Amino acid sequence: MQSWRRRKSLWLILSASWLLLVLLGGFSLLRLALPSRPRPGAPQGWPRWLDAELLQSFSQAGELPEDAASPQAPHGGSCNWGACFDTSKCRGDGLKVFVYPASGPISETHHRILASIEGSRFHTFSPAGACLLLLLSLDAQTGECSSMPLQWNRGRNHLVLRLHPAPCPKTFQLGQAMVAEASPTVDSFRPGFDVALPFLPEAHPLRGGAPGQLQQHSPQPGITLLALEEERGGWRTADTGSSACPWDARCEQDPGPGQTQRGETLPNATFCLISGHRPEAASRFLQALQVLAALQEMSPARVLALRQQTQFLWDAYFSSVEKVIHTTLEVIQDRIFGTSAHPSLLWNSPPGALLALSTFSTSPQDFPFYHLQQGSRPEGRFSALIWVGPPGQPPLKLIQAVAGSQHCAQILVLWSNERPLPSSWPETAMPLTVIDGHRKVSDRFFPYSTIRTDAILSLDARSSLSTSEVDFAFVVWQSFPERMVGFLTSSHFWDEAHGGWGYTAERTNEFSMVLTTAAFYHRYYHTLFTHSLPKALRTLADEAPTCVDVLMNFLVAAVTKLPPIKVPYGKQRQEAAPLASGGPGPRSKPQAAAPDCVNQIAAAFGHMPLLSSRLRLDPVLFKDPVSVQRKKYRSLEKP
Amino acid sequence: MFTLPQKDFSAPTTCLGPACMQDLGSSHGDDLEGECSRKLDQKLPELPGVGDSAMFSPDTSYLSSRGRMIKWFWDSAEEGYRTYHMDEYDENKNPSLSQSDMQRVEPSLLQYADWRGHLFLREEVAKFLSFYCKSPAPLRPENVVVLNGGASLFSALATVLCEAGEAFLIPTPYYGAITQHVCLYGNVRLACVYLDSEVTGLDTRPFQLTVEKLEMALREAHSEGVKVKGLILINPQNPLGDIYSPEELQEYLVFAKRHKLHVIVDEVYMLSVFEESVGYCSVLSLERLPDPQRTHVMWATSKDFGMSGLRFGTLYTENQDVATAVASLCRYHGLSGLVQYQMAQLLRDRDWINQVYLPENHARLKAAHTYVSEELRALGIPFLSRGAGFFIWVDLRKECEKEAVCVIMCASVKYNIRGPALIPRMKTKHRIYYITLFSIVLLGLIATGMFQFWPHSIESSNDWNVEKRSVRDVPVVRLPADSPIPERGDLSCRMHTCFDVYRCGFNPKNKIKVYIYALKKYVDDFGVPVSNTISREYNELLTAISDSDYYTDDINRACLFVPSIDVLNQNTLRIKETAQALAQLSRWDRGTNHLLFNMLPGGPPDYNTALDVPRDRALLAGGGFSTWTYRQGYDVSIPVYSPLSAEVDLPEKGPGPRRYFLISSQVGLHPEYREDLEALQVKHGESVLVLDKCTNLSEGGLSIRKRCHKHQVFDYPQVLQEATFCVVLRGARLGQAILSDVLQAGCVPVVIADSYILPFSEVLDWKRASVVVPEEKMSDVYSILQSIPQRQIEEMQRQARWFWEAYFQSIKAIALATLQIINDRIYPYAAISYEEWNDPPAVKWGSVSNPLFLPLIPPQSQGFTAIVLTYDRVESLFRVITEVSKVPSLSKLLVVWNNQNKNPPEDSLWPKIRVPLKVVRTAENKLSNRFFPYDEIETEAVLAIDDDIIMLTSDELQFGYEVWREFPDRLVGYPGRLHLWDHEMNKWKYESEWTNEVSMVLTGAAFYHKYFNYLYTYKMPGDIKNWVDAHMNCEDIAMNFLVANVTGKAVIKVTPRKKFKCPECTAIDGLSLDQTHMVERSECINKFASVFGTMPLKVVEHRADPVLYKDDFPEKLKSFPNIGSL
Repeated sequence: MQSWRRRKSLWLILSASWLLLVLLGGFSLLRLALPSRPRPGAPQGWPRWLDAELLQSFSQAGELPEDAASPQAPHGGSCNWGACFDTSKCRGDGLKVFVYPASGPISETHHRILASIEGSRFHTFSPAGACLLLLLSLDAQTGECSSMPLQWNRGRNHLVLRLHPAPCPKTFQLGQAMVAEASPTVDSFRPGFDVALPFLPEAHPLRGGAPGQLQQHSPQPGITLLALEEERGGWRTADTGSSACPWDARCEQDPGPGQTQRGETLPNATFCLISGHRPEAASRFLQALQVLAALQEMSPARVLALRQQTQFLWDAYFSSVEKVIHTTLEVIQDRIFGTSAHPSLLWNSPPGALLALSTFSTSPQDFPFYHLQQGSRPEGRFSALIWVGPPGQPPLKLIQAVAGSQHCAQILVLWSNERPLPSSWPETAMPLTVIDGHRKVSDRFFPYSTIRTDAILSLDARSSLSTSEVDFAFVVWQSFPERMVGFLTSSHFWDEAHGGWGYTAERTNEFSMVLTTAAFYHRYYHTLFTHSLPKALRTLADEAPTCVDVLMNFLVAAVTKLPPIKVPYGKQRQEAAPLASGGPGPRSKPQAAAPDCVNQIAAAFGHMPLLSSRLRLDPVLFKDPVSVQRKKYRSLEKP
Repeated sequence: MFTLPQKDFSAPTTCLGPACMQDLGSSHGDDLEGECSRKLDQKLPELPGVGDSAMFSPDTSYLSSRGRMIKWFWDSAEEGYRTYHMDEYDENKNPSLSQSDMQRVEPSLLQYADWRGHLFLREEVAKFLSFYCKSPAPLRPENVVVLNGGASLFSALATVLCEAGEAFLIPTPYYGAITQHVCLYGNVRLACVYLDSEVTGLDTRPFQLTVEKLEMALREAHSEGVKVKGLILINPQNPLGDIYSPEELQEYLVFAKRHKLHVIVDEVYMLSVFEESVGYCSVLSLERLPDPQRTHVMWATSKDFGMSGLRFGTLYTENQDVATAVASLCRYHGLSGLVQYQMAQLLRDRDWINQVYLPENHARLKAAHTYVSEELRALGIPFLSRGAGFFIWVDLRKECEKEAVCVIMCASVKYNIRGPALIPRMKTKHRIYYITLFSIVLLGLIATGMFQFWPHSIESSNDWNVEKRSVRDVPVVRLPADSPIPERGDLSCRMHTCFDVYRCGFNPKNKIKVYIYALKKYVDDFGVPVSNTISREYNELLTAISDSDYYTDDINRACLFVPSIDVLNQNTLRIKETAQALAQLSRWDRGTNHLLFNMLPGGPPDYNTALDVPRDRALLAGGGFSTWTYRQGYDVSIPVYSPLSAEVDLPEKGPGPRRYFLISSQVGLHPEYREDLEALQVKHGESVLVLDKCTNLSEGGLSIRKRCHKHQVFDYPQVLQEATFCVVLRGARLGQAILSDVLQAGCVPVVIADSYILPFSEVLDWKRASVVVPEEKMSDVYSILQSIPQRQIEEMQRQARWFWEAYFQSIKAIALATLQIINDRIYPYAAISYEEWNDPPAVKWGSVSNPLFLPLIPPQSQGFTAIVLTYDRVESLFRVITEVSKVPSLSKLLVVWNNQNKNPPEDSLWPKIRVPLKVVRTAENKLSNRFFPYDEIETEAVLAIDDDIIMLTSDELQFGYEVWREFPDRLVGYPGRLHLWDHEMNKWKYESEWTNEVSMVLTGAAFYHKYFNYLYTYKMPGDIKNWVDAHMNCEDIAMNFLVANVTGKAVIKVTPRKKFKCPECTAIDGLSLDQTHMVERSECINKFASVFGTMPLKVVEHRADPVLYKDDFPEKLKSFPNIGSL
């Protein structure tokens, strides 16, 4: 029975195989016999040559490496960076800029721009020591066109800065001078040498500048998709409805109601089409590429990214004359620095290259801003920097509390008072370094090379903290490495009565500053404080020591555009006074000086960067009615 | 007459079943319906018996029962092999591709070898696999074991990895012989992972292997008490020809890791993937294996090289215990020294493999596949053909109904939903039908095999998309001496002046269309050719364009035209005549929209930096532009292709300091430069190496690959890998092929060539990969380089290598990058971003690009939209609406009515509130409806709130909104939850209350940006969204995963609140309910983590409270006094 079955199966296999073979074989035989025609519709690609293997290479063996060199570089008519700029003068200090003083009477704007450059870190008063000589060519309203300056030297290492299109005829040959001007033409612009500037309106603010008007991350439904620039500065809006232009039809047939007159604000549109000098080209362009359809297809993610990026660029580089000039100088400095210039990421993501100094580092992960983009994390240790001002008691208790933290890497004591250094310091497991300061308050934010960690816990000798508080605050800082994390706070507010900014250290429902007498922040802010703030501001802080706190808060807020973070402080009641008095300065009348410096600093910044927050970050089980045994930071709750 | 090309297919026809001794003792055939993985502790056959036992030979007296069983396998397989031997390969019809340098007997080869294989062979194998598997780091010879074939390897692995009776999972249908391999010695069985043939919600293609199915099979095996030790993956799959994508592989490996399973990855068809487009990736190419100690990769020559008679197989495993144990078995399975020598010779000959063997093999495979698929398609028979191996999986079920011969066989067709592995489940008589059915499938494949080795038929059947012709047969075109010449290149050309974008038009794919002119041979009046017809590289380039998405064969629709006139090297052509040839092209039109490729411009003595052929407005993709000739934004600067890229295999070398700091390896340097360099060498000693031509080498041909310093000889380009920085100096031309060699070696190029436009500089950020030094600063080079921090150098080394891999290594890469650049100019809104051009894959993987990256605090006035998802709890819903409407910042209320069977209450019944209230009705009762980006949402902030959350106070909600404003890119919610790693179970666990940490918030009430609704609905990875809807659970966990994954940030928990409602808080009473809930939630976390391929959730220890919360401060002065209850 079984064997019969097996035979049957064999038979079946055999017969089936034969059938298939005949079927398939027959087809193939047929195929061999009849020449087949090319299949219609199938694309005829580039042929696969039978003898492709036999083709010769485009270059003979040895031709590539054995080119004979010629000692002269190919040359052409215009300048490039290597040929026309002498970087040998820029060694050491980086870019030092000398500005030619204006000849004759100058406008108020001109004067202020000069002052702004003079206040910057690039400026030098000596033309001999400068590596870049800047010739400011402003509007010709004064009737005076600049003439050829003294150290011209065929324009070598010169930058001619034209903020507004100059009606002046070119009185002298530009030669080897770089030109920074708005809307240069492709023909005259020398890429990698000249600098293209934005076209600034006459009333552009000198410093500060209005922040971007984007208030939302995403467009609202029903908003106009596209606005077209019209002649005479008006705008015409093209709605999503009219986007269905057929291929050949003209999109412009429907002028629609959405026309604005010159001077009106920009329409509330997602995209704006700017057509340069030829407005009529815009509609042609539309027709050719059906921009609207393409824009509509753009994914929300991309639209969102573009909107945010425009705001960032505006805010970082365009919103004031000062920023435009500093950006120009930064671009030139990057060329000088070569390999230690800003990487592209630093230019193109917040806070931007003006605030991420390449002299600090060129690795994004050294800065507090780019950890997420780089997939890195801030490191898990901090350095405590304790400022000992007058009266100069060694803060033994504080040192012990800080040294008890598992995250502490080192303790630095900044001795800044008249008393002699004590000979002995408490025994701790932490390395303790004493720095003899210059008795200046701004010393507190000097980028000491002895600070080896990213995080700094800035302390005043009179502060009082528990280990638990330090631990928790540090863990919070690791989540927000770009912000300041502090224990005690103060606020600014608009004081209608005085028409200026007010300051209060009283406990309120919101705050905008944390006191740096006990706060965590990234060590980069020391570099920024010392090297990017105008000198005048640091002098102000030295003269009115309570201001140093305010100044640091301004700086960080201006960079991050976010408020600081407050964490709980257990001993608030008993010891509020010494911390809240802010600043290590004379303890009399601390409140009086503060509003004054808020106003002065705000004026110097050109705007008010401080932002208020209404929240405090507590441990997850903070003051919850559960057993303290469950709580990780239980000592924070002790009265 | 037919042949069995490989033994593979003899097996399924006689496969007894996955468990080798299963059913042998059964007394009636019905028992064969047992499960695939049966308990093994059944008795051995009691023979002679009835039923199937009769299949064993009655001659039993000499053999043990085990022996009888083993012998049975021989009998069953023998038939197939007999037919196979009857038709061996034909010398004429099937020319074998082999080399003759393999016959050699060295005395040392006749001695005992290292059991795991001679070191020389293992080194060769490691290099071979590194290259073909594209491993991220070079593979190590000590992880290689060689033995006689894949079958032995399976057998050995089964024996050393499993106890007797344990099992391996295997996706089914599978190559049946594996049953014997793992069982005959190892007594290991197979547990099937059924790949249902119908596309279910989880699959995107038929027979797709998913983690779901793996989990199911594993559970099934466990439930039957079978211990599963590992998973066998065959990639490309035999017999489906299926290819696992890297993501899928990763998922399977993660699955295996989770269950501590070994994974045997059989890549024996690795080189038989003839469709490049299917994107085959070896498991060894993965950046990181989830569990390297349990991943074992095998490969053999039987399939890819058709050398089943040589008996060679190899194992690659990082697990030294496994390698040693297998090596120990090599005492019985080892290779003879002679075979080892021959193998090493074969594997070493990369040129022959790449240029002769593989192309031919793939062409034949493709031809055979195309033939069979066309026929099947013509017959209307459904089948699967996935572009790899010899496999076509034919569905003959329907066919059988028609054909008379099949009538009997179709009796049991209805069983055939799970493929052949079901065979053992069936009654004996059914099995025979199945055997027959399969023989038909096999025959199809045999036919495939026949065509594979029948090249004649390939050429005669003329129906491929590409024709096969000789370059020598192209039409000849005579150019009269007075035919027109184009004008010289116009230096002022820009895209908007010289390029006609209207031809490209609006294109839904945003892709330009490129046309290639047919190849012609141009001669002058006297019949003298104008140039070589075409070079190998230009042919490759045109082939690459033709194979790309840009290509069109319709000249009327093209926007860019590429002449087939080869101008890569100006030296090989006659300038005036070439220009005349260009001018007579049918659409030349002053060169508008024409693209020329040139790598070697100019000629002696002055070597212009752009092609001298007059070309009017044509775009030039040129290697070696200077700032004076390069038309910014119009021309494209391309690399000079280095032939060494294909000739020499330099495995990537990790970044870090190298033996030499600076090296110069160019030979044709101007004496002035050489003096400068030698001065550097004198000054800095050992760390600088200046090489030159070798003068005393006898072999002339090899001198290109050698460099000398004094009397020391170095291999070029290998020596470049020994240096941190490599000088690339201007020669007669600015563009140098050495740049490509330098990048390939991962050496940072120091470009000293004033005014040189670096290749693809329009899109590539060369600052990240090179140092450019002005020629006059040459003497300072050393100090300039010394000032670069080590970390930056390492970045540059990685970047250099990545540039080479992406844009330099082949003519194809160069051609496609060029077209992409032009495409980006024409469709700038669809252009590839800076990051995509410049970030190496590793960076793209590790970093996060937060969609809401701008630090921006939205104005409070905007308010938020509350979205209440409800089914039918109207009373509770109305209470929620009333409560929420008290929150000052509420600006709109949206009720998502999820009940299709019932209408929402009439307008008049709804509570009267001060803000607009809208009701949205949904089409289906799905949880994901709560996260849909409704047009009605006009605010950025969304409050998702359940229809039973009535305990939240107005203060709490208002405070939540204000916290959200400060963290608009995060989920801001009330009760927090945590995920934990359970070390005992080796998986994630969900934790609810009273922890010191949070990583998730419940979305029963949570604020978030409405953009995440868009992401949840349209961009949720994998099948998560459907899975959530199907299970009606875990939508909140999915949202937490999504937001954390895209932003890289943690959630913000606000206020002390720990729970929402009583079902969860009274869980102490209904403990079991709570536990089920927790288990389900834990499963969700594990499932999502495997889909995301990572654990994106971030753990934090903080929550947000109002500034004065619980402070000693008058309550009435606090902004948010009414906060605090749990």
